[in-house]
Amino acid sequence: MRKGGAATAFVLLLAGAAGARLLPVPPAPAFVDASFHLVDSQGRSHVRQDFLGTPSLILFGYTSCPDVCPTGLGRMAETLARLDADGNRPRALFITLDPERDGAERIGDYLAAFDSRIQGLTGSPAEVAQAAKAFRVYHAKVGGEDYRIDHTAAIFLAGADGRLLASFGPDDPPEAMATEIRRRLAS
Amino acid sequence: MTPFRTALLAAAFATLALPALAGSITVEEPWARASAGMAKAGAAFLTLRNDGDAPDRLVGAKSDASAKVELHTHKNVDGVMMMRPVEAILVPGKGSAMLKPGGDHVMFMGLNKPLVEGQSVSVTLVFEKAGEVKVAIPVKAAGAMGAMPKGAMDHSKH
Repeated sequence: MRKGGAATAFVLLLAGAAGARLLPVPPAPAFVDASFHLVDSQGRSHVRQDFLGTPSLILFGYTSCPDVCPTGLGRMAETLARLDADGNRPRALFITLDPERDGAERIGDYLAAFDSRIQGLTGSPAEVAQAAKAFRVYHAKVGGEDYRIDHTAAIFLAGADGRLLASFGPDDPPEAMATEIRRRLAS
Repeated sequence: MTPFRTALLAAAFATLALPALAGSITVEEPWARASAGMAKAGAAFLTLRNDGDAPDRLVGAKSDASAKVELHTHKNVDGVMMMRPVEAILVPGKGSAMLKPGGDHVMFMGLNKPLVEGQSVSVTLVFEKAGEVKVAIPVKAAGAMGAMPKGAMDHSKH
């Protein structure tokens, strides 16, 4: 994950000859070049430097999501609880993919049911789309007025430098996530 | 089964209503998620055990809790979770169907009031063959991951 640009390009060249399907995907830019700005549930603005300096756990979702997001937030809360004893517990962020419906206050109320340490973030649709793109998070509205959002369900770990260090799938248990996060943040 | 797991199961069952029966179908470990904040969507999960030889299908669910109740499933396509309505959920003969987080669930759309932890929500399940059965579904924490107490699920694989 900490490969320089030159090393990554070399891997791509080699893999290109072997077949595109086997390409290791270069890591998503995460917060490294973040030019978007988001607003938290207290109305405070967050820009690139606010996402750096401390490692972050990031989950994208929306508050009208009945299962995937509550499960993800529950797993995030349990992972945080397991990391509590550590000095460098990452901050936890929930970024909405539904800025039209999820205002700052609504996200704050929603997150209070899970873990008050998880910071909710929203923004204009364009800013939110940029944030999702920085993590290569897929999101698409499905249905009409009562729409749902298909979205990438991963929980991401970004380092203090904003780089993507790991991503966890919906089946990774909190215990394993906590272990991997400790390992990543220690190296 | 270890004494620890037995104790956990006993503790879990003690907090639940007795299993509901419809024909050869038993509804086990029903639970719903508390709705968080102003969320208008909710989900309930349960296991359907079929002691009969013939398969049955859960074809619907009814409740006064919300404007609409649907059966939904999830597809995980390259890490993207896609939630879709389904017409029915198959309960195989001499087998069971688990409605659980990340998979199938009973979906409440347009909740009339929040689902509150510690309360229960009444749902009538409709089966193709076994008919209807009313289930009082206990509401667990918004971040719950199973019918058992928080954290208990993590030990199930040991």
